[in-house]
Amino acid sequence: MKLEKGVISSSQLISLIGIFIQGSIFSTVFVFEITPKDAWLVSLTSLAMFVPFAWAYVKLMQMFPGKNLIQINDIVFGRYLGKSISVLYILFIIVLAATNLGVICDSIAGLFMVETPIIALAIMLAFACAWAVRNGIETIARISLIFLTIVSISVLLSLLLIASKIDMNNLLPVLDISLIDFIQVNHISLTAFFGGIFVFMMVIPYMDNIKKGTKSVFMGLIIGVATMLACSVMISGVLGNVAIIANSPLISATRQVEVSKVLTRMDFIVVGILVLSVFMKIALIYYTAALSISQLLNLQTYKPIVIPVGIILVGLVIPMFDNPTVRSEIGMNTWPFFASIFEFLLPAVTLLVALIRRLPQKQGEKC
Amino acid sequence: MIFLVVAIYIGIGFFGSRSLVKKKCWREASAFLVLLSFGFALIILQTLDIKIPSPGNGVKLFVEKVLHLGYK
Amino acid sequence: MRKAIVIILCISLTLNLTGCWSQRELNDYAVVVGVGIDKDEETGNILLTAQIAKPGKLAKDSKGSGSNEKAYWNISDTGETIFSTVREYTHESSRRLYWQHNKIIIFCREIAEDGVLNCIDYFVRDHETRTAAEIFVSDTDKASDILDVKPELEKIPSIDIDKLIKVQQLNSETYSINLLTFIQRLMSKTTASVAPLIKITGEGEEQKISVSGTAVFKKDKLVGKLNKPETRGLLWVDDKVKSGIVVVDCPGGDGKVDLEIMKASSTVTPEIENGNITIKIKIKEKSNLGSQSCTEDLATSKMLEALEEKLASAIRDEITASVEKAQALNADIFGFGEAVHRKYRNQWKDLESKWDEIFPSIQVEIKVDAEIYGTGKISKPAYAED
Repeated sequence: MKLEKGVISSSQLISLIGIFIQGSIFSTVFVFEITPKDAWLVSLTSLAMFVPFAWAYVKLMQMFPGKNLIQINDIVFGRYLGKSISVLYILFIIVLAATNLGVICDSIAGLFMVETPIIALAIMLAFACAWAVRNGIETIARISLIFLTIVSISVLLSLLLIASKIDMNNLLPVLDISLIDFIQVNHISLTAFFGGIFVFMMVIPYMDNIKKGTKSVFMGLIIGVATMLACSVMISGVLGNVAIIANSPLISATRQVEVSKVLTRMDFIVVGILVLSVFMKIALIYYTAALSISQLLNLQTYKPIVIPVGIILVGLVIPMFDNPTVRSEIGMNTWPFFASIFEFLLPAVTLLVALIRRLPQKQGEKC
Repeated sequence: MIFLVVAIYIGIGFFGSRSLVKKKCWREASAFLVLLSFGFALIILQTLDIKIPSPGNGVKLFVEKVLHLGYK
Repeated sequence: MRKAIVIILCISLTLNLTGCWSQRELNDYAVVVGVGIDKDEETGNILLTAQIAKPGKLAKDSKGSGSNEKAYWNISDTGETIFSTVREYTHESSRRLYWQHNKIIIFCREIAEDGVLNCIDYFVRDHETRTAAEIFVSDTDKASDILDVKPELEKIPSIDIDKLIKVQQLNSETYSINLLTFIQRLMSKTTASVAPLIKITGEGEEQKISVSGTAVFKKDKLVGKLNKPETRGLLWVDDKVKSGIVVVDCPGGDGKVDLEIMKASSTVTPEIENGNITIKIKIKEKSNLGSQSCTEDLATSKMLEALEEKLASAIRDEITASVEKAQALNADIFGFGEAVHRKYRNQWKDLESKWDEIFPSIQVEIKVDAEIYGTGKISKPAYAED
């Protein structure tokens, strides 16, 4: 029984993935805390490392056309093991969404509206996401193209406006960090920025032409990474070594824009526009959570699940981490390993088992 | 404050399940109510200032103690 | 019925869009445009002077004899730390201080000598303060006095001082630095921070603010000063000279020639040979003949070449003076350390910890390529030669 009646085209997938990656620009603080100069390089190297996994995701989708991740788990691992793995996935997805919500709410409420309790902002954002999710993946896909254009253009504009304050010396020397740090930074980048793509395994099955899946995913990744690259260069160039201590390097960097005394303090606008990208990222993760739960429980439609899941997300925002400092520590030191299990290890294992068992079998899929 | 939260809960519970019960989608309605209660449990606990064990710390403990992995 | 609920919901949502929770009315704000930090003699605490703009008085044009009302209000308070002092203001100020328009931060000499670190954290950490604020060090006067000098061309001293520092690039003898650059230098293990010196000249009614010279810090403590030529030497090396006048002697005659700097650029390249570090500084500069007080015809190619040589040696002297002063103070104000780091990253690991010993003995090779291009409206001076 098809849960999602919408269909997305391959170009929509490109913009979905692009805006998803752009939604991670806010989380680049984790990378900047370790290396203020090489963030741009890290986005490129971790993209290169991510490519095989992206390929694995799409391959899995192509092996089981029209079936989303939860259904594939059932087929590959059998009914009981598959469902337990799916439950773990769902828990992880919900935690992921709550963390992302927490990051954006802390940044904005902490910087602009200091007295507002974070949960008020979280409720607003979750409500908007819930609305988008209820309208289905097709609507989300259509919005993503608009948002992708808006965010990309505004990033480019702010880069141009701040170009006079960028000191390229701040990006040298390249790779002046220890090997362990480099590995750690790439690991963080992989899990925090790119790993989230695994949620697309619930979205890709609804493509109209799944053969174009690989190409669309890669194009989306390239667009997203290009934006991230521009932001990293801008932040490193403007802040230099201050980027290590800045809690929100993007906001601190765009605050320095000063064109002819009129266009000062553009950080409001830049941040406002980047909220669009984070909104899309959360909406997509949220959608995946709702869809996965409905798939697991064999419901006919995921619409009634949306609001309860939203409430759970809002409820989790505050208890998730004690304070932003703890979140940074965990995000840099322990989260990469935890997330790798779900974003990389499990899908790879699923693919392997599917290949070994020579699935899908031509005659019937349930074993 | 608690009154407000409980009132909203009951409100959403009613509105949400109304259309479902009318169409006799029992599965959907029960899933809706179960998840809703879970969500509101979280919110009510926070309103009452009862500290919920943080999943973030759980992740940290899991990775450090069980997997013995971690960068620092 | 459903529609009504939806409409009510939408309206109530839009009400929230204005961010009522953290709303701030302009009337409840005291806009701080400048701040001075002194040391209170009796208690040793910090004396914080905030200059608050009074928008109402700004709009009024003074008619005739003009109202003597000041368009600003200086409020001072003492405390142990900056943030607690800022909140102390609420005991006296009816409005909450609003820092987002703060343009200048002035440290008095005692505070700078004690170390600015314990004063600067608030300005970097707080959400409202701006890292684009300009930093000053006051040499002989108290910051609170400087903020009280009535400016002639502007209505509020802080705005006057802010515009003053921005105009300095016309003389290129003052190093302007904003908070962000200051802390970038503070965060570097080898580079020393600098800040322009500000003082009051004249007495009584004739008081004026003057900005010239540079304060040199080691880590966060004030250790010395640079005078005007030394400051320009620093600016040459730092690629920050935009305009200015270099005065050289007339070749072969008596009199002086003013050369106006039009463009300048510098490249700094470190070289390490046999364990000796040499910094190669290359300056490329273009100026115009601004004015001359001798009677010779300087607008010939031979004369211009001679002048170019004099110009080059003048620039070299300025840079040398600046380097020698910095080495005497053992403060790497040029960022030579970071330049070595960028090029020789492997050796830097050892050099960094020993930089204090290495810096005073670094050799500096200066190469100046000075060009004189235009001669203004006339070529020969307006003089009848005998």
